[in-house]
Amino acid sequence: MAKKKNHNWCGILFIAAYGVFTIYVSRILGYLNKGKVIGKLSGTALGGIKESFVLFGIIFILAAVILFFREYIYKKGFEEAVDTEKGVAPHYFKK
Amino acid sequence: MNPYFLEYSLVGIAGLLFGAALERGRMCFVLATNNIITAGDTKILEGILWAFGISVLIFGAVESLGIIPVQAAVQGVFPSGWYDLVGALFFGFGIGLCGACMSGLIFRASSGFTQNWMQLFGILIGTIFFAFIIFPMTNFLYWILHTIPWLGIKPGLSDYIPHEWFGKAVWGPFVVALIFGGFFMLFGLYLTKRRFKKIGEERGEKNYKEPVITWNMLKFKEPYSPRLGGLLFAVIAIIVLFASYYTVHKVAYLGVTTPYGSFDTYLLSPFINLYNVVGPYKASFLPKLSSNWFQIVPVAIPMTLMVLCTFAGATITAILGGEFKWRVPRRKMMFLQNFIGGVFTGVGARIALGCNIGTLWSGFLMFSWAGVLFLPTLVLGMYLALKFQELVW
Repeated sequence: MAKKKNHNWCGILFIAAYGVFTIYVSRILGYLNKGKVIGKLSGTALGGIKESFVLFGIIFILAAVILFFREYIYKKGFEEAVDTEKGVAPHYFKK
Repeated sequence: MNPYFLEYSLVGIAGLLFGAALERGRMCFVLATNNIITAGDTKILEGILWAFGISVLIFGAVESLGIIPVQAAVQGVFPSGWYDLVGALFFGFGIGLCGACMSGLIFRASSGFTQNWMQLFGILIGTIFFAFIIFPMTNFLYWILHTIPWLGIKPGLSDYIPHEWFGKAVWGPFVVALIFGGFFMLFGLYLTKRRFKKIGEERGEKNYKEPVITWNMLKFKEPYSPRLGGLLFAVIAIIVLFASYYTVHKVAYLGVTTPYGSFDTYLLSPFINLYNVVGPYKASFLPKLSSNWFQIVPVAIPMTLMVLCTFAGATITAILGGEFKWRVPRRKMMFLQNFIGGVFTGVGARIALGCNIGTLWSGFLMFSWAGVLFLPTLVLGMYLALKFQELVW
């Protein structure tokens, strides 16, 4: 069996964590808004903002599930990650 | 439909695109500078110039044609002054130490670079340090509202260049856009042409050209050309502008560090509501609670969701491109360097009222002097960080 060389599981966990964090933020916005003196959000604004945060939180979690299936069911999770430095600075034409 | 839901959702989609453009296009100011210094390669700078040029030209046209009324655009304009110069110096030094600006930081952290997570942590700590120490101790808000004459560029809060230069003329925004945006665009095109010529000569190809977009880029098999990244940047700025104006009738410009600073309040909310906390110092002329920077920013702005979506978008494309990897620097001291750099980044961004996205790029999009003032000391700060590292390492 080929050795697993990428850390996509970690990236997938990150995306799921972003989703959980986004939903968590939607839950605490009302509590934080109570403490505001300057720039307090109206009820309509708070309601709309909360809904959008929940929507994107769910989207992130679904994206993580889809990527998980792609990585570990479809591709078996054995693809090597692209070279680090090439990934970050791929545009060098050193003379 | 709730207009705020619509606005945030559209901005969220723009955020996903923004993350993809950052990660696939490697859009980073520090990386662009490093590539120029170390290899004479201007490719990423060309992408940044495309982003600035296209977006500024379109914003000018949109305002001059009255698609977005000038009055609405002016309401979103940041003030500019000494704080842009000072903040950009700290910010430039911070990002120079970390090797990543706010845009580069997001795509690197999203690709698994652990040192950039330390930078993100440093920014959160720097924001708290600014909010409870620098902001109240220096009466910061006072000096923004009452600009020191010999340090200030323009007094007051309104700083809209078309009005300053051309009064209320409707063509004012487009002429200013032509001057700034035209310069960025022409400079970008010149650099691209020069680079193609150079590579063509080396390879013996007379008409050497690189495509802006290919199928392999769309299939995540190769990174985007920075010019495609720049084009996407411009599209995202326009989506945000229109989404905000046509939903809640307010103009929003892109920003990253202010909403990211709000993450402090979210993360600490199980323990403390930072909005209610009064620091050890109190500005004498303000109500007690205003002595805390968090109190003067809203609990959420559309950019808050955009930042989350940008991280998610960049991580998704990093995985799809096979480039996500948990990367730990060999020298563990880099964690400390990135943390300290992050603190400088956070404090600098707060002093300048934004980062290289919110103050530099959006400064030009607002036709405010903020962008012009931010740029020189940003470069100076990055240069000082480079020299500092040469001295220490």
